[in-house]
Amino acid sequence: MITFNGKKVEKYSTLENLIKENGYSLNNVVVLLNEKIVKKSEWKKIKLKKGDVIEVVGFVGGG
Amino acid sequence: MKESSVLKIAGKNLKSRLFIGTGKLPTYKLIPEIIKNTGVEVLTVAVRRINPDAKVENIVDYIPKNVIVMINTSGARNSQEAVKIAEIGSEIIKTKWIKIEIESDTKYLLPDNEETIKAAKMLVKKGYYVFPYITPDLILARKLEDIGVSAVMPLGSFIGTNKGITCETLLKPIIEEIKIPVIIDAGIGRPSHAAKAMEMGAEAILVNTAIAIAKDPVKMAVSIDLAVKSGRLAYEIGLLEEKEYASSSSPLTDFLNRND
Repeated sequence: MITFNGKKVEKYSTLENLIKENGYSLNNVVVLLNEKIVKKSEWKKIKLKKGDVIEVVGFVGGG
Repeated sequence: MKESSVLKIAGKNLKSRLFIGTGKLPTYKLIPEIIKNTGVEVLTVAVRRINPDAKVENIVDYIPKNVIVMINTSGARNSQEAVKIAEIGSEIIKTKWIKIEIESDTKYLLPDNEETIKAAKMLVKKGYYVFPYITPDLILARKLEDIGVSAVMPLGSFIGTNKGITCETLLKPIIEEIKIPVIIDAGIGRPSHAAKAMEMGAEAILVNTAIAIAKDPVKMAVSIDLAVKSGRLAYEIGLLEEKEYASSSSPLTDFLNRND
């Protein structure tokens, strides 16, 4: 199990698979793996492991 | 038309002295409309977790390319979180403009000035243009100026209250003494508040709620923009002092057959 945006989900092979299969447009988002920013070019290379915490963040309206 | 001077800030020369916050807008489609009708050059955005399934608008798609994006660190409860938000945000859009907003109080949304100073030091060191949202306090503003922030953003009233410039006595010394731009942020609910802020000598204002939740946000943005221009122009000309007694506008002498 890994934690993806606060929810427990089944294990995925790579970070890129997780992002794609969850229907994100890959533009204009930043991915944090265990609180660290992961560059988009590295998403493919990163194999997820038990206990990983992934967050997808982006811009919203704000003052 | 005669225009007021340009605003020199963070290495830019801006024509517009109205900065706009994008929170609470009914749709991001209004952003390009507001820009087109006002000439606003700086917008703020916030950073949040994005959920996958929701087919929501992506704000980035609606921000015209020539507009400066200022990342607001709202949601941060301390300086570390603020720095992290700045770093995340500047990965999404290449911008170095960061509004530090650190709050731990949800009732008044007052900034945590101590954490703001810490965040300002870290962000300036990392090469960002830093715009801290602060309570109107001259001593605090001086400390931030010494740290090297690009402007200070003291509040006019509490965020989202539409009360206008209720902190005038505390804002005046900041405007007089601080050499970097002073941008009055928060509380501006009407064009008259905007004009007041500019007449006082603020270099710019930041408005969000008053525009975003207006029945017609584009028209309200235009009306506030006109007030900003009007107030600034008057400030640059120099406003006249108030007087206690009447002083006639028409000459009082040589009235027909009178010899008094």
